[in-house]
Parts: sequence; C-alpha cells; structure tokens
Amino acid sequence: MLNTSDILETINMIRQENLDIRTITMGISLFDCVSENTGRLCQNIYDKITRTARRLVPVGEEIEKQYGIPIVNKRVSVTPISLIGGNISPEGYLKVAHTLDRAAGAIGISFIGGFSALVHKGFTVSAENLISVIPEALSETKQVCS
Amino acid sequence: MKAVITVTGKDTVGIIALVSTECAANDVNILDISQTVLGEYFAMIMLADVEKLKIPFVEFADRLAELGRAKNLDIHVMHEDIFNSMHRI
Repeated sequence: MLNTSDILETINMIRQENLDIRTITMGISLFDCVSENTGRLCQNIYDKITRTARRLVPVGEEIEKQYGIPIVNKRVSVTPISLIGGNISPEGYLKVAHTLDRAAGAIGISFIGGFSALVHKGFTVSAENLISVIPEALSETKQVCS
Repeated sequence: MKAVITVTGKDTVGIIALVSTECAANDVNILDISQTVLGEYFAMIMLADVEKLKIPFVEFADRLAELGRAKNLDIHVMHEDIFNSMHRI
C-alpha cells in the first residue's frame, strides 16, 4: 500500500528536482527497404519509418500524462545505414540522410539515430562512402544523429 | 487500475467537493483520502479506482487540472504504478 510520504517524495522529485524520462527509443529495422535504386531506397525508408513510428509521439505523450512524468525526447533508431546502402555513392548517402530527416520531421520526433557504419572489423567501401558525407549530412539536417 | 490524485494550493471552501464531484460524474470511486492544512496551505492526496472511468484517463487528468487552475490549485492525476515503481523493489 502506498503511503503519503512516498507519494510526496515522488511528486517532489518530478516537480522540484526535475526528475524525468530522458528518452524513449523505437528501433526500426530497415533491411526490408534495400533497393539498388537510390530514389527507391529513400522512398522505402521514408514509408517504413512514417508508417511504423507514426504514433510514437502521441503514445509517448499519453504515457507522460498517464504517469505524470515528463518524457523529454522521443527518438527513432534505425539499422546502420551503411548496411543497407549497398553500392550507393556518397551523394546517395546524403540523400538518405535528408530522407531520414524528412521522415523524422513528418512524425515529430526529437532525434533519429542510425546514420552510421559498423567499422570495428575494418571499413567496407559502403562504410567509407557513408563516413565521407557525415559532416555534410549533419550540417544540412536537423534531427539526424550520426 | 488505481490513480493518485494530488491537490496542493491555498485553502479555500469546497476543494474536496470540487474533486469528488468530478470523480463521481465520471464513475471514479474514491478509496482513500488524506489531507493536511498547514496554515493557509492545503495538501490532499486521494487514492481512486479508475477502472470504470467513463472518459479516457488522459482527458480526466486534463479536466481536473483545468478545474484546479480555475481555483488556483495544482491538481495532478497519476497512475499509481509510478509510485510503486519508485518505492518498491
């Protein structure tokens, strides 16, 4: 059974000491978006993110109100893009970064993570292409994390 | 499902009436009330059963918060699980 001091302590933590849930993250696999055509790849990525995560923000807000605790960031994390980019050019990767940004804007999330490459066992061409456009990608987009 | 309703603010006439009327109107059963008045300040904690709530929980929380604002009171409705999670292992 709850007692008064526990309740007041929790409320004090939330209201006075700014206790919050920093981030909720939805992980989305983009392996089924692979295409040899960059335009098609981007379209598939946009469609999948906006379809699967369309309710992430409203549901997050509902949880905030139900439990009375703020959730500061709602985030989506996707398959590392270098794994699904295949042989696309650096410009192609830049387009993908813009697509991720557009999708993030459309569903209203705070961040989208996954514009990255796995290089702990060496660089592939695909990983190098992606890494070469990271500075541009980050400076031209708002919500993409890399 | 149970909810904890907390009310804080300056003491005025009819605070409990205000909250309990809204609860009754939405089929919320009040299980326990504890209140303290410190000088002119008022703090109340109410445990309520919201199983039969007629409107969505979030809407109920918004309505009470709105009623509170009109009377200069801070009213929060929170799911009891947040308190259990914070204080029970």
